[in-house]
Amino acid sequence: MDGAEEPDLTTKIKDAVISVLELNIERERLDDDVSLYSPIVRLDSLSLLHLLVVIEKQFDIEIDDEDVMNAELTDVGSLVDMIRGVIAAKGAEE
Amino acid sequence: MSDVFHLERDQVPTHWYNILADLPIEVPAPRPAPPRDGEKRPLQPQLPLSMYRESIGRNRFVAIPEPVRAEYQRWRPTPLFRAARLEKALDTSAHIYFKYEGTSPSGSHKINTALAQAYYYGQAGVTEMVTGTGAGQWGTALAMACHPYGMACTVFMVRSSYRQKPYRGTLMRLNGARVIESPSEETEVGRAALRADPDSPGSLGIANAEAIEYASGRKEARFSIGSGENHVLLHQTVIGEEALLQMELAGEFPDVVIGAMGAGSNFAGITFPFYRAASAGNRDTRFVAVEPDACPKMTRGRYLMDHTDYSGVTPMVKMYTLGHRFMAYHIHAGGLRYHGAAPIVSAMYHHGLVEAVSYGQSRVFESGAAFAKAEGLVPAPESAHAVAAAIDEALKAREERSARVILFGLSGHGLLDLSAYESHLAGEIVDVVPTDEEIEKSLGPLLDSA
Repeated sequence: MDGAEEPDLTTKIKDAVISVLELNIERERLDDDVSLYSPIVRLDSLSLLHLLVVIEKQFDIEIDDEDVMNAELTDVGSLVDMIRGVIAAKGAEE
Repeated sequence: MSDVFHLERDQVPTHWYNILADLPIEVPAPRPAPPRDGEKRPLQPQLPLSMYRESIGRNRFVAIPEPVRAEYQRWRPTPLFRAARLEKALDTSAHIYFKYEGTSPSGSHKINTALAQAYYYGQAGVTEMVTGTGAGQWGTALAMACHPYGMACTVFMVRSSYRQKPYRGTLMRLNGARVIESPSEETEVGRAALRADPDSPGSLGIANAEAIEYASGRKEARFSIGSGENHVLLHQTVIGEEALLQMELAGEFPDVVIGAMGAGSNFAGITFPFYRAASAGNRDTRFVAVEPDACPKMTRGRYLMDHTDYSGVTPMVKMYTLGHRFMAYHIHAGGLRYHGAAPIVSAMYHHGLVEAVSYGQSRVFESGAAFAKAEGLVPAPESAHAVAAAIDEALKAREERSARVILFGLSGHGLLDLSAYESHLAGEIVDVVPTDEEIEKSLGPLLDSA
């Protein structure tokens, strides 16, 4: 390691969102309160599932159907929180 | 020699077949739906993640959940017949086989995916499934599938079929579904379609758009579809997996496999497992999709990014399409009036892995009637498209004096379509074909934005 700080989980998740959705934006523009329907994120229900499948692989997790169906996904923060919750639950199990 | 090839109950497949594992081509990814206003409101996934995950993966075989397989075993395996009397009537050297899905509770193949979907949606906590249906076979299947899982079912049924096939609605209601004629006054999409044309015969695109809008306003309701999505095609492969074993029992392998083509699930169900087996065995088996002249998405459409629904709110997928605003003329095979072909089937067609032909409905009913007379089974008008192509293949074999082995999917019975056969007997079946100008006009906006 060259001493650079390891990016935190939220940063990693946002980087994954930018990469999978090919958003071509700086991470700083992906504020927590940006709507998932906004022209920045351009998410729809199918793209959301595609994103989650890729994130599952990247973070070696499996997200339950009910977690996705019941989540109140309105903005970037809520999406990150849901994924963080799944990762935390997995960590607690291990 | 036996003309029917049965399997035992324990031979119901334990796995669906995922053709994505074997295709030498890429199926283009969907393009996100157009950006909306950016307002904050909940984004509701319509599909259970576990079902979607399997449908885009590259695992060759996907395990069928045991509760779903147990439901399948109520009527599966379905029989595979040799149409010996049809062969005799045609005086052909060809051997004609058909896999019959009309023995299912709903009378067609559609329940194969309806049951699977109801299971996954129920596991995900959904309590109401909402859908659009063309001829009513899908709506019937979903209504029957929701019932054992205690879920409510709401069906938007294309107006032309709703009025022409009232018993389909009866069947759905008997199974507890709410059935709404589409276009309807229940949704913005329906009201707009009625304003544009109060006498609109409706279309599957409009019915699905209404179902999406209706479901999106209800927290525990979700839209379900039985057309050309990957997961739908995946679930239907139980048909071909059984047929592979049954053709082994018959001691033959098909030279050509034929399926009627609506959006593609029936075609995929009967052909995909044979694609795998033919590829593995270096066989030159042909795969033929049969569509109506009235809705020639493959034979006259274009391979473009298009929406799967009339209102254009869904993600775009690359498919052979006539344009999502295309309004096919009314035909009796309402289940084949969808404007686009499944992305997987489209990609295969684009790369020459499958063929497509189209037939006018007068020829389709002649073929269906000839089949019914010979074999004693009345094909659904949709299935009769496959019959027509199978007969043509058999006649070619007669001309060429070849022993061609033909397999087609008889996806459903036509006992709720007898009014259409009555029209045939009365000589009242009319062939309707869109003009080039009509197709170009429908495709125009897509071509402009491509």
